[in-house]
Amino acid sequence: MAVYSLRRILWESYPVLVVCAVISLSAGLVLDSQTESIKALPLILMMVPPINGINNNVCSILGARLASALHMGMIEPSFKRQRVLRANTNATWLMSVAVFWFTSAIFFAVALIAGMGVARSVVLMLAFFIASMVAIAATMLCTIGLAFLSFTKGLDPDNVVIPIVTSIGDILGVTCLLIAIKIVIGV
Amino acid sequence: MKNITYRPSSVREILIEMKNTSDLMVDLAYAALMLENTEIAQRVHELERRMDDLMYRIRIMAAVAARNVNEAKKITGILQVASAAEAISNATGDMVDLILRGMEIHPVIREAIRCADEKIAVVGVQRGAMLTGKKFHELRLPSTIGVWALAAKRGKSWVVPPTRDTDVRAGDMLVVRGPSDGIGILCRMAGAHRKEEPIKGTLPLIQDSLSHMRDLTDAIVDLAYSSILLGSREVAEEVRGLEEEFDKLNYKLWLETLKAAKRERNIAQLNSVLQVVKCMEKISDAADSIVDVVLRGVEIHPVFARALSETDEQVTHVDVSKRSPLAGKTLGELNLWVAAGAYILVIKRGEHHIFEPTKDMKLMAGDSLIARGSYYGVQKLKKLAAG
Repeated sequence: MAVYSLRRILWESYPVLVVCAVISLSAGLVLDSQTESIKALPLILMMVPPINGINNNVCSILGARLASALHMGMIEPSFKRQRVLRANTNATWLMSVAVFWFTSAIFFAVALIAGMGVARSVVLMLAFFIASMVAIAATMLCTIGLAFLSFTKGLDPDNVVIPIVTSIGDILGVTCLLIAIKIVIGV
Repeated sequence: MKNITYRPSSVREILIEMKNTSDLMVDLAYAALMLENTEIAQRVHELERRMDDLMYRIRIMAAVAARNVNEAKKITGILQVASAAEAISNATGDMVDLILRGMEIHPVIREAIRCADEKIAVVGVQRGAMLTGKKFHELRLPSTIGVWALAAKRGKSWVVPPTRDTDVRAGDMLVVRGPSDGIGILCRMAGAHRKEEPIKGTLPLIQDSLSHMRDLTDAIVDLAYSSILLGSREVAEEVRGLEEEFDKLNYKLWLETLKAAKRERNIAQLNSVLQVVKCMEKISDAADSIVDVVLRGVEIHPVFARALSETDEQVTHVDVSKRSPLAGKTLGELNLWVAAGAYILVIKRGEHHIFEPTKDMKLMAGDSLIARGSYYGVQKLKKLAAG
Protein backbone atom coordinates (compact mmCIF):
# COMPACT_ATOMS: atom_id res chain seq x y z
CA MET A 1 0.00 0.00 0.00
CA ALA A 2 1.25 3.45 -0.82
CA VAL A 3 2.04 5.54 2.23
CA TYR A 4 -0.60 8.18 1.52
CA SER A 5 -3.28 5.98 -0.04
CA LEU A 6 -6.83 6.53 1.13
CA ARG A 7 -7.08 2.89 2.17
CA ARG A 8 -3.98 3.06 4.30
CA ILE A 9 -4.99 6.22 6.11
CA LEU A 10 -8.42 4.73 6.83
CA TRP A 11 -6.95 1.40 7.87
CA GLU A 12 -4.52 3.01 10.30
CA SER A 13 -6.83 5.59 11.81
CA TYR A 14 -10.24 3.93 11.81
CA PRO A 15 -9.76 1.47 14.71
CA VAL A 16 -8.23 4.18 16.89
CA LEU A 17 -11.05 6.58 16.06
CA VAL A 18 -13.65 3.96 16.96
CA VAL A 19 -11.98 3.46 20.34
CA CYS A 20 -11.86 7.23 20.82
CA ALA A 21 -15.52 7.56 19.87
CA VAL A 22 -16.52 4.99 22.47
CA ILE A 23 -14.49 6.70 25.20
CA SER A 24 -15.85 10.14 24.31
CA LEU A 25 -19.40 8.77 24.16
CA SER A 26 -19.08 7.61 27.73
CA ALA A 27 -18.01 11.15 28.61
CA GLY A 28 -21.30 12.26 27.05
CA LEU A 29 -23.15 9.65 29.07
CA VAL A 30 -21.64 10.96 32.28
CA LEU A 31 -22.81 14.42 31.34
CA ASP A 32 -26.27 13.09 30.40
CA SER A 33 -26.69 11.31 33.74
CA GLN A 34 -26.37 14.63 35.51
CA THR A 35 -29.00 16.65 33.63
CA GLU A 36 -30.57 17.68 36.94
CA SER A 37 -27.39 19.41 38.14
CA ILE A 38 -26.93 21.09 34.79
CA LYS A 39 -30.47 22.39 34.84
CA ALA A 40 -29.87 23.78 38.31
CA LEU A 41 -26.58 25.35 37.31
CA PRO A 42 -26.31 25.89 33.51
CA LEU A 43 -22.90 27.47 34.04
CA ILE A 44 -21.55 23.88 34.19
CA LEU A 45 -22.05 23.61 30.44
CA MET A 46 -19.82 26.60 29.95
CA MET A 47 -17.12 24.89 32.00
CA VAL A 48 -16.98 21.68 30.00
CA PRO A 49 -15.17 22.94 26.85
CA PRO A 50 -12.39 24.77 28.75
CA ILE A 51 -11.63 21.95 31.18
CA ASN A 52 -11.56 19.38 28.37
CA GLY A 53 -9.84 21.60 25.85
CA ILE A 54 -7.00 22.78 28.07
CA ASN A 55 -6.55 19.37 29.66
CA ASN A 56 -6.29 17.67 26.27
CA ASN A 57 -4.01 20.24 24.72
CA VAL A 58 -1.60 20.29 27.62
CA CYS A 59 -1.44 16.49 27.74
CA SER A 60 -1.06 16.16 23.95
CA ILE A 61 1.97 18.41 24.12
CA LEU A 62 3.34 16.31 26.96
CA GLY A 63 2.64 13.13 25.01
CA ALA A 64 4.53 14.38 21.95
CA ARG A 65 7.49 15.51 24.03
CA LEU A 66 7.63 12.24 25.93
CA ALA A 67 7.52 10.23 22.70
CA SER A 68 10.52 12.16 21.36
CA ALA A 69 12.44 11.84 24.59
CA LEU A 70 11.73 8.10 24.87
CA HIS A 71 12.91 7.39 21.34
CA MET A 72 16.02 9.50 21.84
CA GLY A 73 16.74 7.80 25.14
CA MET A 74 16.52 10.87 27.34
CA ILE A 75 13.78 9.05 29.26
CA GLU A 76 13.48 5.35 29.94
CA PRO A 77 10.09 3.66 30.30
CA SER A 78 10.27 3.59 34.09
CA PHE A 79 9.40 5.93 36.94
CA LYS A 80 12.65 5.55 38.83
CA ARG A 81 15.33 8.23 38.60
CA GLN A 82 13.97 9.95 35.51
CA ARG A 83 15.24 13.49 35.68
CA VAL A 84 14.01 14.49 32.23
CA LEU A 85 10.59 12.94 32.84
CA ARG A 86 10.24 14.86 36.09
CA ALA A 87 11.23 18.11 34.39
CA ASN A 88 8.59 17.50 31.72
CA THR A 89 5.81 16.68 34.15
CA ASN A 90 6.73 19.62 36.38
CA ALA A 91 6.60 21.98 33.43
CA THR A 92 3.25 20.58 32.31
CA TRP A 93 1.89 20.89 35.83
CA LEU A 94 3.02 24.49 36.25
CA MET A 95 1.67 25.39 32.84
CA SER A 96 -1.77 24.00 33.61
CA VAL A 97 -1.89 25.63 37.06
CA ALA A 98 -1.24 28.98 35.40
CA VAL A 99 -3.81 28.50 32.66
CA PHE A 100 -6.52 27.10 34.98
CA TRP A 101 -6.10 29.92 37.51
CA PHE A 102 -6.75 32.34 34.72
CA THR A 103 -9.84 30.43 33.52
CA SER A 104 -11.13 30.05 37.09
CA ALA A 105 -10.88 33.80 37.58
CA ILE A 106 -12.97 34.34 34.47
CA PHE A 107 -15.62 31.94 35.77
CA PHE A 108 -15.66 33.86 39.02
CA ALA A 109 -16.40 37.02 37.10
CA VAL A 110 -19.05 35.33 34.98
CA ALA A 111 -20.77 33.88 38.05
CA LEU A 112 -20.69 37.26 39.75
CA ILE A 113 -22.22 38.95 36.74
CA ALA A 114 -24.87 36.21 36.55
CA GLY A 115 -25.81 37.29 40.06
CA MET A 116 -24.61 34.32 42.08
CA GLY A 117 -23.16 36.40 44.90
CA VAL A 118 -19.51 36.61 45.99
CA ALA A 119 -19.46 33.58 48.33
CA ARG A 120 -21.12 31.19 45.86
CA SER A 121 -18.96 32.53 43.01
CA VAL A 122 -15.77 31.86 44.96
CA VAL A 123 -16.95 28.34 45.77
CA LEU A 124 -17.80 27.73 42.13
CA MET A 125 -14.43 29.02 41.05
CA LEU A 126 -12.64 26.76 43.54
CA ALA A 127 -14.73 23.78 42.43
CA PHE A 128 -13.67 24.36 38.85
CA PHE A 129 -10.03 24.79 39.81
CA ILE A 130 -9.85 21.67 41.97
CA ALA A 131 -11.67 19.61 39.35
CA SER A 132 -9.25 20.74 36.66
CA MET A 133 -6.21 19.94 38.83
CA VAL A 134 -7.45 16.42 39.57
CA ALA A 135 -8.36 15.90 35.92
CA ILE A 136 -5.00 17.09 34.66
CA ALA A 137 -3.11 14.89 37.14
CA ALA A 138 -5.07 11.82 36.10
CA THR A 139 -4.74 12.59 32.40
CA MET A 140 -1.02 13.17 32.75
CA LEU A 141 -0.63 9.75 34.36
CA CYS A 142 -2.56 8.17 31.47
CA THR A 143 -0.40 10.09 28.98
CA ILE A 144 2.82 8.87 30.55
CA GLY A 145 1.51 5.31 30.64
CA LEU A 146 0.41 5.43 26.99
CA ALA A 147 3.69 7.03 25.91
CA PHE A 148 5.63 4.20 27.60
CA LEU A 149 3.33 1.65 25.97
CA SER A 150 3.68 3.18 22.53
CA PHE A 151 7.48 3.14 22.86
CA THR A 152 7.74 -0.46 24.05
CA LYS A 153 5.20 -1.72 21.49
CA GLY A 154 6.25 0.55 18.63
CA LEU A 155 2.81 2.19 18.28
CA ASP A 156 2.49 5.45 16.41
CA PRO A 157 2.93 8.20 19.02
CA ASP A 158 0.96 10.77 17.01
CA ASN A 159 -1.82 8.71 15.44
CA VAL A 160 -2.55 6.46 18.40
CA VAL A 161 -1.39 8.00 21.65
CA ILE A 162 -2.64 11.55 21.17
CA PRO A 163 -6.21 10.68 20.02
CA ILE A 164 -6.62 8.25 22.89
CA VAL A 165 -5.17 10.70 25.40
CA THR A 166 -7.62 13.39 24.32
CA SER A 167 -10.59 11.01 24.59
CA ILE A 168 -9.53 9.90 28.04
CA GLY A 169 -9.06 13.56 28.91
CA ASP A 170 -12.69 14.20 27.91
CA ILE A 171 -14.12 11.61 30.24
CA LEU A 172 -11.80 12.55 33.12
CA GLY A 173 -12.53 16.25 32.70
CA VAL A 174 -16.31 15.86 32.71
CA THR A 175 -16.30 13.38 35.59
CA CYS A 176 -14.04 15.47 37.81
CA LEU A 177 -16.02 18.62 37.07
CA LEU A 178 -19.39 17.08 37.93
CA ILE A 179 -18.10 15.37 41.09
CA ALA A 180 -16.46 18.59 42.30
CA ILE A 181 -19.63 20.61 41.71
CA LYS A 182 -21.72 17.94 43.43
CA ILE A 183 -19.50 18.00 46.49
CA VAL A 184 -19.04 21.76 46.74
CA ILE A 185 -22.38 23.12 45.64
CA GLY A 186 -24.47 20.04 46.40
CA VAL A 187 -26.69 20.26 43.32
CA MET B 1 19.57 -11.03 5.55
CA LYS B 2 17.65 -10.50 8.72
CA ASN B 3 14.48 -8.46 8.67
CA ILE B 4 14.44 -5.40 10.82
CA THR B 5 11.79 -5.79 13.51
CA TYR B 6 10.88 -3.11 16.02
CA ARG B 7 12.60 -3.30 19.36
CA PRO B 8 12.21 -0.63 22.00
CA SER B 9 15.81 0.51 22.27
CA SER B 10 16.37 4.23 22.17
CA VAL B 11 18.82 6.21 20.07
CA ARG B 12 21.00 6.49 23.18
CA GLU B 13 21.11 2.75 23.82
CA ILE B 14 21.85 1.97 20.18
CA LEU B 15 24.55 4.62 20.00
CA ILE B 16 26.23 3.18 23.11
CA GLU B 17 26.22 -0.28 21.60
CA MET B 18 27.53 1.02 18.28
CA LYS B 19 30.45 2.84 19.86
CA ASN B 20 31.30 -0.12 22.09
CA THR B 21 31.13 -2.47 19.15
CA SER B 22 33.23 -0.36 16.82
CA ASP B 23 35.88 0.22 19.52
CA LEU B 24 36.02 -3.49 20.21
CA MET B 25 36.17 -4.35 16.51
CA VAL B 26 39.23 -2.16 15.95
CA ASP B 27 41.09 -3.90 18.76
CA LEU B 28 39.94 -7.33 17.67
CA ALA B 29 40.94 -6.68 14.07
CA TYR B 30 44.50 -5.76 15.05
CA ALA B 31 44.63 -8.73 17.41
CA ALA B 32 43.40 -11.02 14.63
CA LEU B 33 46.06 -9.67 12.26
CA MET B 34 48.80 -9.95 14.81
CA LEU B 35 47.93 -13.47 15.87
CA GLU B 36 46.64 -14.51 12.43
CA ASN B 37 43.68 -15.91 14.26
CA THR B 38 40.58 -16.92 12.32
CA GLU B 39 38.29 -17.23 15.36
CA ILE B 40 38.80 -13.60 16.31
CA ALA B 41 38.49 -12.60 12.65
CA GLN B 42 35.22 -14.50 12.42
CA ARG B 43 33.90 -12.67 15.45
CA VAL B 44 34.76 -9.33 13.85
CA HIS B 45 32.66 -10.37 10.88
CA GLU B 46 29.71 -11.23 13.10
CA LEU B 47 30.01 -7.87 14.81
CA GLU B 48 30.09 -6.15 11.44
CA ARG B 49 26.71 -7.65 10.60
CA ARG B 50 25.43 -6.60 14.01
CA MET B 51 26.55 -3.04 13.26
CA ASP B 52 24.58 -3.00 9.99
CA ASP B 53 21.53 -4.02 11.97
CA LEU B 54 22.15 -1.31 14.57
CA MET B 55 22.56 1.33 11.87
CA TYR B 56 19.06 0.57 10.58
CA ARG B 57 17.67 0.65 14.09
CA ILE B 58 19.20 3.98 15.00
CA ARG B 59 17.84 5.53 11.80
CA ILE B 60 14.36 4.23 12.60
CA MET B 61 14.45 5.58 16.14
CA ALA B 62 15.88 8.93 15.09
CA ALA B 63 13.19 9.32 12.44
CA VAL B 64 10.45 8.73 15.01
CA ALA B 65 12.07 10.99 17.60
CA ALA B 66 12.54 14.03 15.38
CA ARG B 67 9.45 16.21 15.66
CA ASN B 68 10.67 19.60 14.60
CA VAL B 69 13.43 21.20 12.59
CA ASN B 70 15.52 22.06 15.63
CA GLU B 71 15.42 18.56 17.04
CA ALA B 72 16.06 17.07 13.60
CA LYS B 73 19.18 19.21 13.16
CA LYS B 74 20.59 17.99 16.45
CA ILE B 75 19.82 14.40 15.53
CA THR B 76 21.66 14.54 12.20
CA GLY B 77 24.86 15.01 14.19
CA ILE B 78 24.14 11.82 16.08
CA LEU B 79 23.39 9.91 12.90
CA GLN B 80 26.66 11.17 11.47
CA VAL B 81 28.53 9.75 14.46
CA ALA B 82 26.63 6.48 14.15
CA SER B 83 27.47 6.12 10.49
CA ALA B 84 31.12 6.92 11.27
CA ALA B 85 31.12 4.12 13.83
CA GLU B 86 29.65 1.86 11.18
CA ALA B 87 32.27 2.94 8.65
CA ILE B 88 34.96 2.07 11.20
CA SER B 89 33.40 -1.33 11.69
CA ASN B 90 33.35 -1.90 7.93
CA ALA B 91 37.03 -1.01 7.75
CA THR B 92 37.88 -3.56 10.44
CA GLY B 93 35.78 -6.10 8.56
CA ASP B 94 37.95 -5.52 5.49
CA MET B 95 41.06 -5.94 7.62
CA VAL B 96 40.08 -9.35 8.91
CA ASP B 97 39.02 -10.40 5.42
CA LEU B 98 42.73 -10.76 4.71
CA ILE B 99 42.83 -13.54 7.27
CA LEU B 100 39.51 -15.14 6.45
CA ARG B 101 40.43 -15.30 2.76
CA GLY B 102 43.70 -16.97 3.69
CA MET B 103 45.87 -14.22 2.25
CA GLU B 104 49.47 -14.06 3.31
CA ILE B 105 50.16 -11.47 5.99
CA HIS B 106 53.51 -9.74 5.83
CA PRO B 107 55.48 -10.08 9.09
CA VAL B 108 56.03 -6.32 9.10
CA ILE B 109 52.35 -5.87 9.99
CA ARG B 110 52.74 -8.00 13.09
CA GLU B 111 55.89 -6.11 14.04
CA ALA B 112 54.22 -2.76 13.47
CA ILE B 113 51.27 -3.66 15.69
CA ARG B 114 53.70 -4.78 18.39
CA CYS B 115 55.62 -1.51 18.18
CA ALA B 116 52.57 0.71 18.58
CA ASP B 117 52.08 2.52 21.91
CA GLU B 118 49.14 0.40 22.85
CA LYS B 119 50.29 -3.21 22.95
CA ILE B 120 48.41 -6.36 22.15
CA ALA B 121 49.60 -9.45 23.98
CA VAL B 122 48.70 -13.04 24.70
CA VAL B 123 48.95 -14.00 28.35
CA GLY B 124 48.72 -17.62 29.49
CA VAL B 125 47.20 -18.03 32.94
CA GLN B 126 49.27 -20.43 35.06
CA ARG B 127 48.02 -22.78 37.74
CA GLY B 128 47.77 -21.10 41.13
CA ALA B 129 48.11 -17.58 39.73
CA MET B 130 46.26 -14.82 41.58
CA LEU B 131 44.02 -14.23 38.55
CA THR B 132 42.46 -17.68 38.61
CA GLY B 133 38.94 -18.07 39.89
CA LYS B 134 38.20 -14.34 39.63
CA LYS B 135 35.61 -12.82 37.35
CA PHE B 136 36.56 -10.01 35.00
CA HIS B 137 34.31 -7.48 36.73
CA GLU B 138 36.02 -8.26 40.05
CA LEU B 139 39.45 -7.75 38.52
CA ARG B 140 38.62 -4.35 37.02
CA LEU B 141 41.71 -4.60 34.86
CA PRO B 142 40.94 -1.48 32.75
CA SER B 143 40.85 0.87 35.73
CA THR B 144 43.66 -0.70 37.78
CA ILE B 145 46.32 -1.42 35.16
CA GLY B 146 44.84 0.01 31.95
CA VAL B 147 44.52 -3.42 30.36
CA TRP B 148 41.42 -4.60 28.46
CA ALA B 149 40.72 -8.27 27.75
CA LEU B 150 39.74 -8.78 24.11
CA ALA B 151 39.44 -12.53 23.90
CA ALA B 152 39.99 -15.63 25.97
CA LYS B 153 40.83 -19.12 24.75
CA ARG B 154 39.77 -21.98 26.95
CA GLY B 155 40.67 -25.41 25.65
CA LYS B 156 39.69 -25.19 22.03
CA SER B 157 36.92 -22.66 22.28
CA TRP B 158 37.15 -18.89 22.23
CA VAL B 159 35.22 -16.28 24.18
CA VAL B 160 35.32 -13.02 22.21
CA PRO B 161 35.11 -10.73 24.10
CA PRO B 162 35.02 -12.05 27.68
CA THR B 163 32.04 -10.60 29.54
CA ARG B 164 31.85 -9.21 33.07
CA ASP B 165 30.92 -12.60 34.42
CA THR B 166 33.52 -14.64 32.58
CA ASP B 167 35.90 -16.14 35.13
CA VAL B 168 39.59 -16.68 34.62
CA ARG B 169 40.81 -20.27 34.88
CA ALA B 170 44.24 -21.81 34.86
CA GLY B 171 45.21 -22.72 31.33
CA ASP B 172 43.27 -19.84 29.76
CA MET B 173 44.99 -17.82 27.10
CA LEU B 174 43.98 -14.15 27.34
CA VAL B 175 44.35 -11.77 24.43
CA VAL B 176 44.69 -8.30 25.93
CA ARG B 177 45.57 -4.79 24.97
CA GLY B 178 47.01 -1.97 27.01
CA PRO B 179 50.16 -0.09 27.96
CA SER B 180 53.36 -2.12 28.08
CA ASP B 181 53.77 -1.73 31.87
CA GLY B 182 50.18 -2.76 32.48
CA ILE B 183 50.65 -5.92 30.45
CA GLY B 184 53.80 -6.62 32.46
CA ILE B 185 51.76 -6.42 35.67
CA LEU B 186 49.10 -8.68 34.19
CA CYS B 187 51.75 -11.26 33.27
CA ARG B 188 52.89 -11.30 36.90
CA MET B 189 49.29 -11.67 38.06
CA ALA B 190 48.90 -14.59 35.68
CA GLY B 191 52.17 -16.15 36.77
CA ALA B 192 53.36 -16.04 33.17
CA HIS B 193 56.69 -15.06 31.77
CA ARG B 194 56.56 -12.22 29.34
CA LYS B 195 58.38 -13.27 26.26
CA GLU B 196 59.30 -10.57 23.83
CA GLU B 197 60.09 -11.89 20.41
CA PRO B 198 62.88 -9.88 18.92
CA ILE B 199 61.74 -7.64 16.11
CA LYS B 200 63.63 -8.58 12.99
CA GLY B 201 63.00 -5.29 11.29
CA THR B 202 63.17 -6.42 7.69
CA LEU B 203 61.42 -3.31 6.44
CA PRO B 204 62.13 -0.72 9.14
CA LEU B 205 60.69 2.26 7.31
CA ILE B 206 57.42 0.53 6.56
CA GLN B 207 57.21 -0.86 10.07
CA ASP B 208 57.83 2.54 11.57
CA SER B 209 55.21 4.32 9.47
CA LEU B 210 52.71 1.57 9.96
CA SER B 211 52.96 1.52 13.74
CA HIS B 212 52.81 5.29 13.85
CA MET B 213 49.72 5.20 11.65
CA ARG B 214 48.07 2.74 13.99
CA ASP B 215 48.67 5.09 16.94
CA LEU B 216 47.48 8.01 14.88
CA THR B 217 44.18 6.38 13.90
CA ASP B 218 43.50 5.62 17.59
CA ALA B 219 44.23 9.21 18.56
CA ILE B 220 42.22 10.61 15.67
CA VAL B 221 39.12 8.60 16.57
CA ASP B 222 39.31 9.44 20.29
CA LEU B 223 39.84 13.11 19.57
CA ALA B 224 36.98 13.11 17.09
CA TYR B 225 34.61 11.82 19.77
CA SER B 226 35.90 14.35 22.29
CA SER B 227 35.61 17.22 19.82
CA ILE B 228 31.93 16.51 19.46
CA LEU B 229 31.46 15.90 23.18
CA LEU B 230 32.99 19.28 24.02
CA GLY B 231 31.77 20.98 20.87
CA SER B 232 35.36 22.13 20.48
CA ARG B 233 36.53 23.57 17.19
CA GLU B 234 40.19 23.45 18.29
CA VAL B 235 40.03 19.73 18.92
CA ALA B 236 38.21 19.25 15.61
CA GLU B 237 40.91 21.18 13.81
CA GLU B 238 43.59 19.11 15.51
CA VAL B 239 41.84 16.01 14.15
CA ARG B 240 42.07 17.54 10.67
CA GLY B 241 45.76 18.25 11.31
CA LEU B 242 46.47 14.70 12.46
CA GLU B 243 44.56 13.46 9.47
CA GLU B 244 46.93 15.38 7.24
CA GLU B 245 49.89 13.85 9.06
CA PHE B 246 48.30 10.48 8.49
CA ASP B 247 47.91 11.14 4.79
CA LYS B 248 51.58 12.10 4.51
CA LEU B 249 52.60 8.87 6.21
CA ASN B 250 50.22 7.02 3.96
CA TYR B 251 51.88 8.47 0.89
CA LYS B 252 55.32 7.65 2.24
CA LEU B 253 54.29 4.13 3.07
CA TRP B 254 52.93 3.43 -0.40
CA LEU B 255 56.17 4.65 -1.91
CA GLU B 256 58.24 2.49 0.44
CA THR B 257 56.07 -0.52 -0.27
CA LEU B 258 56.38 -0.05 -4.01
CA LYS B 259 60.14 0.31 -3.62
CA ALA B 260 60.25 -2.85 -1.53
CA ALA B 261 58.25 -4.61 -4.22
CA LYS B 262 61.26 -4.43 -6.51
CA ARG B 263 63.31 -6.50 -4.08
CA GLU B 264 60.68 -8.62 -2.43
CA ARG B 265 59.95 -12.00 -3.97
CA ASN B 266 56.56 -12.41 -2.37
CA ILE B 267 54.36 -9.62 -3.70
CA ALA B 268 51.21 -11.11 -2.17
CA GLN B 269 52.64 -10.49 1.29
CA LEU B 270 53.42 -6.88 0.49
CA ASN B 271 49.91 -6.47 -0.83
CA SER B 272 48.62 -7.23 2.66
CA VAL B 273 50.47 -4.17 3.94
CA LEU B 274 48.68 -1.93 1.47
CA GLN B 275 45.35 -3.52 2.28
CA VAL B 276 45.80 -2.85 5.99
CA VAL B 277 46.80 0.74 5.33
CA LYS B 278 43.75 1.22 3.16
CA CYS B 279 41.56 0.10 6.05
CA MET B 280 43.34 2.42 8.47
CA GLU B 281 42.68 5.25 6.07
CA LYS B 282 38.98 4.41 6.10
CA ILE B 283 39.04 4.63 9.90
CA SER B 284 40.65 8.05 9.84
CA ASP B 285 38.19 9.19 7.18
CA ALA B 286 35.35 8.09 9.45
CA ALA B 287 36.80 10.23 12.24
CA ASP B 288 36.97 13.09 9.80
CA SER B 289 33.27 12.80 9.10
CA ILE B 290 32.65 13.07 12.86
CA VAL B 291 34.54 16.35 13.22
CA ASP B 292 32.75 17.67 10.17
CA VAL B 293 29.69 17.99 12.42
CA VAL B 294 31.64 20.22 14.82
CA LEU B 295 33.26 22.33 12.12
CA ARG B 296 29.89 22.98 10.55
CA GLY B 297 28.66 24.22 13.89
CA VAL B 298 25.86 21.67 14.16
CA GLU B 299 24.56 21.65 17.70
CA ILE B 300 24.54 18.11 18.99
CA HIS B 301 21.66 16.54 20.89
CA PRO B 302 22.28 16.26 24.66
CA VAL B 303 21.68 12.53 24.45
CA PHE B 304 25.12 12.21 22.85
CA ALA B 305 26.91 13.27 26.04
CA ARG B 306 24.80 10.85 28.05
CA ALA B 307 25.55 8.03 25.65
CA LEU B 308 29.27 8.75 25.71
CA SER B 309 29.28 8.62 29.50
CA GLU B 310 27.80 5.13 29.41
CA THR B 311 30.13 3.44 26.91
CA ASP B 312 32.69 0.82 28.01
CA GLU B 313 35.57 3.06 27.09
CA GLN B 314 34.73 6.69 27.72
CA VAL B 315 36.10 9.97 26.56
CA THR B 316 35.74 12.60 29.23
CA HIS B 317 36.71 16.02 30.41
CA VAL B 318 38.34 16.57 33.83
CA ASP B 319 39.45 19.76 35.58
CA VAL B 320 42.57 19.71 37.79
CA SER B 321 41.86 21.59 41.01
CA LYS B 322 44.35 23.42 43.23
CA ARG B 323 44.30 20.71 45.88
CA SER B 324 44.76 17.92 43.39
CA PRO B 325 47.77 15.64 43.91
CA LEU B 326 48.14 15.66 40.13
CA ALA B 327 49.16 19.31 40.02
CA GLY B 328 52.88 19.88 39.69
CA LYS B 329 53.70 16.32 38.61
CA THR B 330 54.76 15.18 35.17
CA LEU B 331 52.73 12.71 33.17
CA GLY B 332 55.71 10.33 33.31
CA GLU B 333 55.72 10.39 37.13
CA LEU B 334 51.98 9.93 37.35
CA ASN B 335 51.76 7.23 34.66
CA LEU B 336 47.97 7.55 34.78
CA TRP B 337 47.49 5.13 31.90
CA VAL B 338 48.72 2.27 34.08
CA ALA B 339 47.74 3.63 37.51
CA ALA B 340 44.15 4.59 36.64
CA GLY B 341 43.73 3.22 33.16
CA ALA B 342 43.15 6.78 32.00
CA TYR B 343 44.96 7.92 28.90
CA ILE B 344 45.44 11.67 28.60
CA LEU B 345 44.62 12.80 25.07
CA VAL B 346 44.73 16.56 25.47
CA ILE B 347 45.72 19.08 28.13
CA LYS B 348 43.86 22.33 27.86
CA ARG B 349 45.76 25.15 29.52
CA GLY B 350 44.10 28.51 29.45
CA GLU B 351 43.17 29.12 25.87
CA HIS B 352 45.48 26.68 24.18
CA HIS B 353 45.44 22.94 23.76
CA ILE B 354 48.40 20.62 24.16
CA PHE B 355 47.79 17.61 21.98
CA GLU B 356 49.68 14.34 22.40
CA PRO B 357 51.35 15.48 25.65
CA THR B 358 54.77 13.94 26.28
CA LYS B 359 55.92 12.17 29.43
CA ASP B 360 57.82 15.18 30.80
CA MET B 361 54.78 17.44 30.50
CA LYS B 362 53.90 18.84 33.92
CA LEU B 363 50.25 19.08 34.96
CA MET B 364 49.18 22.31 36.62
CA ALA B 365 46.23 23.39 38.73
CA GLY B 366 43.56 24.83 36.45
CA ASP B 367 44.39 22.50 33.58
CA SER B 368 41.55 20.74 31.81
CA LEU B 369 42.28 17.20 30.72
CA ILE B 370 40.58 15.23 28.00
CA ALA B 371 41.09 11.60 28.84
CA ARG B 372 39.91 8.20 27.78
CA GLY B 373 39.41 5.24 30.07
CA SER B 374 36.94 2.82 31.57
CA TYR B 375 34.11 4.06 33.80
CA TYR B 376 36.02 3.29 37.00
CA GLY B 377 39.23 4.60 35.51
CA VAL B 378 37.58 7.90 34.65
CA GLN B 379 36.04 8.10 38.14
CA LYS B 380 39.47 7.50 39.66
CA LEU B 381 40.95 10.26 37.54
CA LYS B 382 38.13 12.64 38.47
CA LYS B 383 38.72 11.98 42.18
CA LEU B 384 42.46 12.57 41.79
CA ALA B 385 41.87 15.75 39.82
CA ALA B 386 39.42 17.10 42.41
CA GLY B 387 41.92 16.47 45.23
